This record gives sequence, C-alpha cells and structure tokens, in this order.
Amino acid sequence: MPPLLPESAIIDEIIPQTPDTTLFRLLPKERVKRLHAADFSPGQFLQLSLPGAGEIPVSYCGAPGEDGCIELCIKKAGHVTEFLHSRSIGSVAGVHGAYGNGFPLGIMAGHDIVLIAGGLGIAPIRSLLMSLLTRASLYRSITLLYGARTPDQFVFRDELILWQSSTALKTLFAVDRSDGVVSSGTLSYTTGMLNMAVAELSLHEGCIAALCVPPAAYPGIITELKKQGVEDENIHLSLERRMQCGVGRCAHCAVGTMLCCQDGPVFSYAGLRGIQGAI
Amino acid sequence: MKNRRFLLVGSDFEPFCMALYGQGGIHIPKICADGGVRFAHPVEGELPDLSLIRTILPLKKYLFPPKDKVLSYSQDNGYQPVEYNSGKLLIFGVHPCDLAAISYLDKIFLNGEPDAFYLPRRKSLALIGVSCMPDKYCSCGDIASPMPADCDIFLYKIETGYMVSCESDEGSAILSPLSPFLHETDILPPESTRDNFSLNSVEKFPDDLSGVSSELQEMARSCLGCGACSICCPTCYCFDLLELPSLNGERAERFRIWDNCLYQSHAEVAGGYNFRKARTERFDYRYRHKYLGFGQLQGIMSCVGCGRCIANCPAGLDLRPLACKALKESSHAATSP
Repeated sequence: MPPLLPESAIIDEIIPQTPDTTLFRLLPKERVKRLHAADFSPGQFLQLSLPGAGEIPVSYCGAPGEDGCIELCIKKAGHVTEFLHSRSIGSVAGVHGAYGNGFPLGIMAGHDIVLIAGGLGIAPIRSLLMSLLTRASLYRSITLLYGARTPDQFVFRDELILWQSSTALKTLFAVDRSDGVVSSGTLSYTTGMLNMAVAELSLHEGCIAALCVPPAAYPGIITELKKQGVEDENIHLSLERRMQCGVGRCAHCAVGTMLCCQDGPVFSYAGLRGIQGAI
Repeated sequence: MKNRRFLLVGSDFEPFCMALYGQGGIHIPKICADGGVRFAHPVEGELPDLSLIRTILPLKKYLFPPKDKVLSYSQDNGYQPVEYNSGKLLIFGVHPCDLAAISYLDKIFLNGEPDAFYLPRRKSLALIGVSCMPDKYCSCGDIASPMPADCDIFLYKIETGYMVSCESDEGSAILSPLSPFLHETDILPPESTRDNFSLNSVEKFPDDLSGVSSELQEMARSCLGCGACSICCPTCYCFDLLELPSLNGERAERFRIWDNCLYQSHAEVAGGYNFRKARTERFDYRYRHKYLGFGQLQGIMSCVGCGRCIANCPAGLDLRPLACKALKESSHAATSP
C-alpha cells in the first residue's frame, strides 16, 4: 500500500464523553480485513481522514487488541473534528499509521509507574494504562494522575470510577476549578493545578513517569517530578505538534532538529534538555 | 559516452541546441514576456540565455508543484492516489546550486519509501547543467552545499564555447545523436568553472548556534514574515494538505500545497495553540532548518547558496554573514586548546 493512502474504515460506535468530546470506535470497512493502522503501541498516533474534510493526526486511546478495533477520543476543535462529530454510525473514515515512537513499555517492568494526564492528554495515557493493566503484576506500582479543567470535563468517567476502586492502581483526579460542583457521581477529585497534585504524590528514584498534558503544564509538572527525585531519563512526555504527513516530510513538527512525528511524539525529558521551545 | 568530455565550439552552439530541441520537451532559462526569468518552453528558434544568473522559482516547481492533487475520494472506491504520467522533460541550463538542491530534495522524498508523487516527476526530468559565475547574492564560494551537483550532462563555459561532460547513461542517450557537434577531449575543465561550486563545501554546520543568537534575534525583528525566501528557496519543501469536497459530498480531492514556515499558521494546532507564535520563533525555525537540518537530515546544511532569498527579501535580509560567523566560531572553537 502506498504511504499516505488512507485505508477505509467505518465508525462502528460513537460514545459521547462530554458535550464536545466523543469516543469513536473504528473497524475496517471490509470486516474480514485487518487495518494496518490497528497495529500500534501506546503513545503512537495515526492519521484520520474524513472524506471532504481532511486529515488530522490523532493519538490512539485504546489498547492494541486482537479485535482490530481502533479507539479514538476526539474533541471538537477544528473543521475536521467538527465534521467528525456530525457523522453517524456506519459513516466512512480513512486511517493510516501507526506513526511515531510510543511510550517505552519495555523498560517499565519492575518499576513504580506514574501516569500523568491533563485534559485530552488522557487519550494516549489511557492507551498506556490499559496495556499496563493487562499485566499489572509486572510493575511495582501504577499511579494515575488525571487533571481536567472542571469536573464535567473528565472523559472515560465509567472507567475512572472503576480504576478508582481497583487495587491494581492508585488514582488521583484533580480539577483546576470545581465551579461550585461538590460531587460528580461517585468520582472523587481534588481542586488545584496538576503540578500541585503531583507534589502530593510521594515518588522516588527509579520511578518512571509518562506524561501527556497541555504544553503550558509541562514545566511545572517536570519541576515537581524532579524535586521528588525522578530522573530526566525516566520522564517520558508525549508532545503535540502540527503533524501534517506523519512520515517526516512536511517539515512542520520539528522539536529542535528532531521531528515530532518520527523521533516522537513520545520523548524522554533527557532527550529534550536544552532544546529551545521543546516544552 | 558516459564519463567522457567533448568540446562544443561556439559556432556549433545554435545547431546543437536546435538538434537538442528536436528530441522532445525542453525548458530553458529565459526572460519571459512579463520580464520574469523562468525555466520555460523556448519559442521557435529561441536559444537558452545561459547568462541569466537565477530564475524566480527553482526546479522544485517541476518535482513538487505549488498545488498538487494527490488523492481523490469517491464513495465507491474510497481514497485513491492520483497517477502522474508525463513524457520526458529536458531542463537545459541548470546551475550547480540548483542541481545540488535537487540532490537534497531527493534525500527528502526518495529516501526510505519513495514519495509516490515526487518519484515519477523526478524520473521524467533530464538535467543539463551549466557552469556559472556567482554574483553578489550567491554564496556558493563561501559556504557551499555538501550536496553533489548531479546531472545528466554538464556544460563548462570555456573561451571557445563549451566543454560538454556526459555524466549519466541518460546523458549518453541524449548526446549520441548530437555527436557531429562534439569533439572528444581529455583536457580537464578550467579550474575557475570546475571548482567554483565545490570549493569550501561545508560538511557539517555547527550544532550550537548560541554564538549568533543575538544577531539572529536582531535580524528576525526586521523580518516581515512574507515568506518570499521560503517560496523561492530551492530546498524549502514543507507542505500542507488541503481537502476539498464536491458540493454533494460524494467525492473529494486532496491537494498537497506549499506551506511556509514564516506564516503564523505553520505551527498552529487544533484548538488554536501556536508553538511558534512569535515571528522571531518562526524566523529561528527556518534558519535552523536551513543550516542544521531536521530528522533524518540532521547535520546536512540545505542552503545551496543560490542567493534567491537575498535577492527577493523585501527587508533586505542576508543570512550569509551570520552563517559565516557561526562557521568561523565553530572552527575557531575546534582549533583552540
């Protein structure tokens, strides 16, 4: 198959998460086939096409599975995503991927793992968490810290409630402001910025952190992680950039002289040190 | 005839060209009706003007057009690539800098999985290079590209006419029918034309640009952000993808269009966040891309010294002194104890 040529998929399920954010499940248009883009590792991304609207890079939010289903959690934020939200079950989409480097699952066994997501950064973090949970005993501990702007902006709410009561991981949910909401179903959360919530975790050397948060939140969170002794090599960040092609040719997504689409989107903080504008 | 050299005396240049034109599609450097210098079709009997220093646009317009339809979508067939078929096109009179730029673009678009839209266009081009003397905008003498100026045939200007060097099998096929005008020689091309391009070739630009950051910032403040430098640059290749639907939504076409790293939208993502909001950040991005290279081409300087960016900058910006300073400082640092 020529690169950049989307494979035909259909929208099999549409599960609204918040008024502007929805989980879409995609399957191949011809059910007997498996989409190439269904083979990925957490932290990688694909290019999603909506005929007539265009193409956007999207992080996988599910775990790679035998069913070949692709899960994407997408917020209405531009003309392609607006158009996607107007589609119905059975509508056609195009996919190609997977692209980029994902989180380094291979080095995580035996370590304390802390996952930090802010806003829609939960999408790739959920993919990683689901993969970790399939073999949770391999890891010393798993902690999920997830911050949203307001309580009604948490996505995957049913899963958050399950994870909150699970013994396989520790969870901490935070909101920037509660807007007077005192409870949100059975989900408990604290109020305060994400870096303040990070300060409450008691981490130590050897801990491996995986982050996907809004660009402005990285410096504060990294400072907190380092304060707690997490080493630069053990902080893995999923960066966002404008990635038009995904194959290192369109020259939009450089981070220093690396390309986010090929050298990232997941980088170790050690690899980003000293690069102006990286975070 | 490959790897052999021939003399073409000045009086044979016109019949040589006419015989060459007879071989099919050809573009030559010429002054067009609007006064612009372009590679274009010769009109009846028109000879290439090999004294012209630079065309408005470099050869990327043939390999990677400003707006290129790449995919079409229909409900029945899904997305399908647009097939590009074209006969051979001979470009006559390409300067070494523009040839080196093609070598660079080849690295971008042909390394790994070749780009399906660049490859057939590249295969359809035959290139006849010609030596030239730099003018005040050129920098091939000071900070020359490490890229080879590969072509099929190369013409060295000499006093009595041209020395024609056959550089490839394709060049051989083109020159064979023209042999009545060519007299084989084993004389080497004169120093001034042979080495002008490859002199001072920069193998690797210094990674650390901190020594020039204040000058870079100063220059960036004068940049108007018009993007002219990038449009006319023979090695600028960044592109955007644009999809246009039919009115009934049943069909769509996807285009690859030239983008420009000096435009504000270049680093903007969904939701409106912009990773290079300040013009100085965009200027810095372009400079780093040119001299340091991105991704797999890290460490390969892509400036070929054609001078188009300087000739076309409405603010009169000239990156050469800055690049020279960065090079000088790094060589100084390398030699100091």
